[in-house]
Amino acid sequence: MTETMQHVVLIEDEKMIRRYVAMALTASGFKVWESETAEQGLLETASRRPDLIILDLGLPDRDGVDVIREIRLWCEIPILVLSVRTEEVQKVAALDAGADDYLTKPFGVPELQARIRAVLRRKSRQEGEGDIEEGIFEFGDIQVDMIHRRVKRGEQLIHLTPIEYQILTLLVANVGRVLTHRFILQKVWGPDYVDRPHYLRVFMAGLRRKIEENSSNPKHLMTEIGIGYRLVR
Amino acid sequence: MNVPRFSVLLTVRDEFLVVLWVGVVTLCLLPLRNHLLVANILMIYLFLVFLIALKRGRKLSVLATIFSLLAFFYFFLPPHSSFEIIDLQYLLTLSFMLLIALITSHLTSGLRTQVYLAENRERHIRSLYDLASELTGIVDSGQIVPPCRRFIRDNFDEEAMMLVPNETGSLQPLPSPVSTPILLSRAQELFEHEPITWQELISGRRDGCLYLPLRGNDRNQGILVLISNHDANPLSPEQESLLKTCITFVGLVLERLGYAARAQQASVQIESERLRNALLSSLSHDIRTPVAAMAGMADAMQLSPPPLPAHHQTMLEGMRHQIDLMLSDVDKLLDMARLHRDIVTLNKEWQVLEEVVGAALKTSMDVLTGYEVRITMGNDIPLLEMDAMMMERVFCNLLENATRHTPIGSCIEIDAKIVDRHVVIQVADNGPGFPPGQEEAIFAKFVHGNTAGTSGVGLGLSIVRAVILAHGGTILAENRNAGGARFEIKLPMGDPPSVTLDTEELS
Repeated sequence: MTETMQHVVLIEDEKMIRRYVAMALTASGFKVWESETAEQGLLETASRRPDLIILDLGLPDRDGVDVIREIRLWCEIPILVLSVRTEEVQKVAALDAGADDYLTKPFGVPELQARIRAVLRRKSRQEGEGDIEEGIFEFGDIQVDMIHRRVKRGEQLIHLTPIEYQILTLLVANVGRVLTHRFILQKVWGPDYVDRPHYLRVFMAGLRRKIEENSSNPKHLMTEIGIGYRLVR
Repeated sequence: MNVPRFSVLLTVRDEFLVVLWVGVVTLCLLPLRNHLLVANILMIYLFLVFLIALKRGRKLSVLATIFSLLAFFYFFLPPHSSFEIIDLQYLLTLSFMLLIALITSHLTSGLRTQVYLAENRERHIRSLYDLASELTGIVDSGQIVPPCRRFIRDNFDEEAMMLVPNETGSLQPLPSPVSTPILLSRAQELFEHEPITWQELISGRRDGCLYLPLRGNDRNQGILVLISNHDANPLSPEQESLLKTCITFVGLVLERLGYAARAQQASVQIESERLRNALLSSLSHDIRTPVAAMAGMADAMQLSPPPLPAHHQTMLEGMRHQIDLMLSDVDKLLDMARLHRDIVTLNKEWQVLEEVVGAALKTSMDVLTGYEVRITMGNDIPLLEMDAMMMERVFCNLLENATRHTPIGSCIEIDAKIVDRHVVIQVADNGPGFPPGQEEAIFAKFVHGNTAGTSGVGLGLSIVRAVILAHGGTILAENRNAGGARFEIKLPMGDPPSVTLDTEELS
């Protein structure tokens, strides 16, 4: 835990969920500001300037995706979205609108804590407290050398194609965070390819075969069905 | 030129009347024959002929001319009371008189015909207009009958019945006060078969009934039956064209009603689908929210200081486990409810099979603890068009099923290969296998395998089958020769899109 207490604005209309998330966050050492509606949440966000916003997508007064867009107009505070299993389209829309990550209800407290840690760590990395030392990023037994554009397993060089390397570095830059198909396609192939997710799938399959020990049961290049991909260290 | 029903007026009685008129005029003129000039007498006869031509038409006026001439010859031309002609000039006079009578009668009767036709046409147009204005506003096929009956009665002096198809396509009469026995088989035959020519239709009267198909734009909409009360006369061309217009119009009205009914049905279907989805999502929300809160609170309790006593800790873990099981069952019920309808809306995209299997393994991580999973998947498996979320459920359910019926430490194998333009995926375990004869029954809803005391609602495999069928694939279950259960999924390969690969190496 950091020395100064970190603040979280929690926007969730279900009282039961709000209560246990607040309990879990308080137990982890956060100061929690609870909001029942989107309007109240936006006010809290503006006045408290929190380190993190946790936002339920199914709010009664406003569309969650709209709320994200509005927050993103004036600040970059990390947003963690809460949603249910059947709302994949909404989750993707929320992520594309600027949310940092999502959690599918029901989720356990350990999951919640891990997700919050990943989101906050990424933020501190962006602010210069990075963990990519001297341009080298490691996960599992894989080393990605950003300066020499080399990927190695132990001492052995892994031969990647330019596009595979581009996808990998994009995932590395956002480690722990889910990236939507649309986002990756746009960054790697350009805006003309955003409607061709099968391109990404084929290249990801290639990348998994080279990086993962067992490409059918990956440990690092994780698939989030219907959403996108996530690099897990 | 043809005047409808004009011949009816030309009865023997009319001809007798003409002769009578000539006789009366002759009788009136007889006492004056010594005082009037022959030419004036001739003029009076000519006038009579003209009047008859005007009132009674050509045939009678010719008849009147002949009788007038005979009377004139006999009674008024000298020598009186004989047909003898003393001056040949009279023959010329008589010839002119005949000519004038004929021309006059021809002209006047032509005029009469024109007037008659114009009146008739106006009447037809008015009754068609009435029919049209009555039929445009109707919303139900039953409302067609009264205006149609009135139209047929006014213009054809016949009764009318209408037959329309029911849901199964067999004709039913629309409610009508007429109850004449009609040949349903004849009507059905006309309704179902290719259109025959108008001439065949119009001459095909059976037992006084005329069957006419009501054609819409693309197919027959029903049958109109004309029922004659008396010996039916053949229809005149005007009546035929009127009848044609009428049945085309009624056919189009029926077609419009059909489209309107279908549009309404579709909107009802959309509405009920929307309601069902709203119900499912609210059900899902209402069940999951409190359960999710319970799970979360159990977690939070474990984490909050001070630490719980050991037996409370165990109870809490058991609670957490039961909550997870319940959530998984709720998910299955909702999946099944979503798949229940014949029409499953799939979100199909070209997917990498290995990726979907990988995601399922990650989701099932907890249940797979202690099991060995072996995956053999060639690099040649093409992209498959499928709903990844649904297929992930398929693999999760198959994996869960395997763990449920095999002891911890067992091995689950998944492999995929191409066989005959299909991708064949096998999920097999080395457990006890299916009870003999149960290979098909396990896919039914709410059925558990042989293992007594297994938890769950028994929907997993029915969901698996519903999803595979919705993808145009097949699934079968059998026991392996080496022992254990084996599921075989067969999915069509389809026509995957091409992907341009970059083969060069990173420099």
